[in-house]
Amino acid sequence: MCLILKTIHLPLLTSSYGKTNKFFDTSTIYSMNLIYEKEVFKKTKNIEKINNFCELSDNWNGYNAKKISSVVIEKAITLLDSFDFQPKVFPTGRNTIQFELEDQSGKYIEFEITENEVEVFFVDAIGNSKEWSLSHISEVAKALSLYYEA
Amino acid sequence: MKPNISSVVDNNENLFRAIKILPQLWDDEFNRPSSAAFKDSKGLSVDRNAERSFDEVITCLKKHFSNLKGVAYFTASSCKNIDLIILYCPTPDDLYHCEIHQSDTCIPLSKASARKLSKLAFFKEV
Repeated sequence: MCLILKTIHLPLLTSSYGKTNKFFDTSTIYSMNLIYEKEVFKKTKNIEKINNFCELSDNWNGYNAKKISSVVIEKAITLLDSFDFQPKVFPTGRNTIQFELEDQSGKYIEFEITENEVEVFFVDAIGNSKEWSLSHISEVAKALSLYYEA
Repeated sequence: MKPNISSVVDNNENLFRAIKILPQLWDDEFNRPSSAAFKDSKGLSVDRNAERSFDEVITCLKKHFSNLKGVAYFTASSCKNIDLIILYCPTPDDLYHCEIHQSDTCIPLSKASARKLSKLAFFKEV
């Protein structure tokens, strides 16, 4: 059994977390604390879920999917640090792990983590889509900005 | 006696994709499978209806797949409407096996196509 542990990094919300100042009243800080705790919990669950992908054997989906490689699993856990708001996490039948964010407007972004790169697929609220590959994990933030600002 | 199955998948035929309970490929928020459920390393494997009833197909898939959550299905015509290619390629274990390809020259489905399938598919829980 493999287990890849990662420390949980505090999301950007901690810039205001626990601080009282003239810009935030206590009810806002309370709400932000709740959001932060919720995302920390979701991140813990996501790490656990991804670690469990180590246990998938060949043909795990009944359609001859190969087991997910440890390289992909480790990359996926590292990538979670880039998300202030945790994505949904799914394995695919082609040795990749997929992160998804979607809202009710139809806006959607997907990060498909392969052994060699991270592939992004984005759809805006009116259905325009684009795909591209990230050359470095640091580009995740820029891709997420595209999603949140669309 | 082997059924006489046409090599051409009729537009009205349903194509079925089994979805297991674990690992989770179901999006609880939007109540549909993730597009991840429609990504295989080569063509997307599905089973065609052929001469069978809907219930016969479900029964067959339940025998073949363990820990089944349910079955996603869509018509051949809905696949063709999003420009996908359906190939009937039976195997010794599965006379009804088909593959869905992105195009004549590209086998694996694109992310956009996988997502379209996840959104247009119907789902039967078993």
